[in-house]
Amino acid sequence: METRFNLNGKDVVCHQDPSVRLLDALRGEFGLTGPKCGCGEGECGACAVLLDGKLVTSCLVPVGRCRGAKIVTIEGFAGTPRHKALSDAFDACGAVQCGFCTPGMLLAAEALLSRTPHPTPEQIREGLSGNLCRCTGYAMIIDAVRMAAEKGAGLW
Amino acid sequence: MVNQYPRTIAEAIEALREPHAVPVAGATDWMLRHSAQDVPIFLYGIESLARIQEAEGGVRIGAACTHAQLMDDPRVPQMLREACAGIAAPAVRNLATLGGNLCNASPAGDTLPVLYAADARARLEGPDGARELPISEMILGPRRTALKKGELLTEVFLPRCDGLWRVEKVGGRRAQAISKCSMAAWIRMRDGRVERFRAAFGAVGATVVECREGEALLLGAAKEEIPARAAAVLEAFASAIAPIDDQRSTAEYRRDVCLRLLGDFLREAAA
Repeated sequence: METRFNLNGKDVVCHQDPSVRLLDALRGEFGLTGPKCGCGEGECGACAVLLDGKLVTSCLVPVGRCRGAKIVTIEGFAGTPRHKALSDAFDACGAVQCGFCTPGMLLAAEALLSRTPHPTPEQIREGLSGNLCRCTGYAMIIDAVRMAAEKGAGLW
Repeated sequence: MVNQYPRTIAEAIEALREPHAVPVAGATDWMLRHSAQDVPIFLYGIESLARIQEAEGGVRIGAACTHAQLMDDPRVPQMLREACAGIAAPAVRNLATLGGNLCNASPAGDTLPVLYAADARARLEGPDGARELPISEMILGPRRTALKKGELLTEVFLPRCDGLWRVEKVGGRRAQAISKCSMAAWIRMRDGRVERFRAAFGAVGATVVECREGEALLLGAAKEEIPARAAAVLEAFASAIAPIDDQRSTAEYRRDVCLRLLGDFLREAAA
């Protein structure tokens, strides 16, 4: 079975069964290892990607659901000015420890700032509420998103 | 070959004739418990299933509207928007649908108490035509619904629920929690007296728990009479709410919290 979609700006054909997790197709067929499998049930956000611009947990998305969609992983987001603003802020705030949650955190932050360019601390917590950091470095991550929103003002 | 990407409800119903066909909308539950023989029929390409329309007396909500979509739409009654905001976290709310919450029929489904309290109705369409059922008749038990094989939940009609309302969810944390218990309650006054009072509780029984007898005790009360009647109302609900102990909570805690939430709401109504 073939499923065609756009992945990080390129049209691709995925050869998995439609019920296969998008996460597995991304990592296995396309070699994109930015999305991680933390829990496999939509609780931890480590596998988050953007599907038609919306944050989703790719472990809960069947490949068949992606027909005709635009998927952006952290690899596709990297290199954009918004990614740079977030990445610089994560560096400056010490928001990366083991790094396992970071791709999902960055995409959750991107989804949040796209909708709410000047979030309150409460809105940042809400926007990241589906992303677990196993190093428990939440305070720095929240600081980093706030810093990115300030220093990157105008990007979102 | 079955069409797994219907563009219309009629095409979806045709596709569901396939013996192992399973309608799949947000897929967030299906991905965790599908079987190898399932043939998913993807509903995301059917525009009418993702539509929200104002209608006489309320709003018609396509079954494949996501929780995120409902939260953002001012036509959707605030009571339901708030219940949707309490579900999971942003990434899951961008996928999971109102129809999925109903069809999964989990005792802890977070939109269900609101739909019961507001007397919402479900529209089911199948090869033999369409029918409408009250939500309370569509949901039969944990993971059991009145949907027949080949039938599709297409729409939910949510009557306007104006007045004083309260939606509460009690969980281990604010995000990503499966409810220990939940409540949707609302009161509408007319000419200074309670014209309508509904309270529905989630995760404290096999399906949503209501208590018509307890609700009736409040009808006709003026605001200042509510405190005097509250004890009897709570007593009636106390006998209707029959939770269990499980890994998320205890029966005692659940019952106690439900009654306190209701008591608190009644105090607000009297203020």
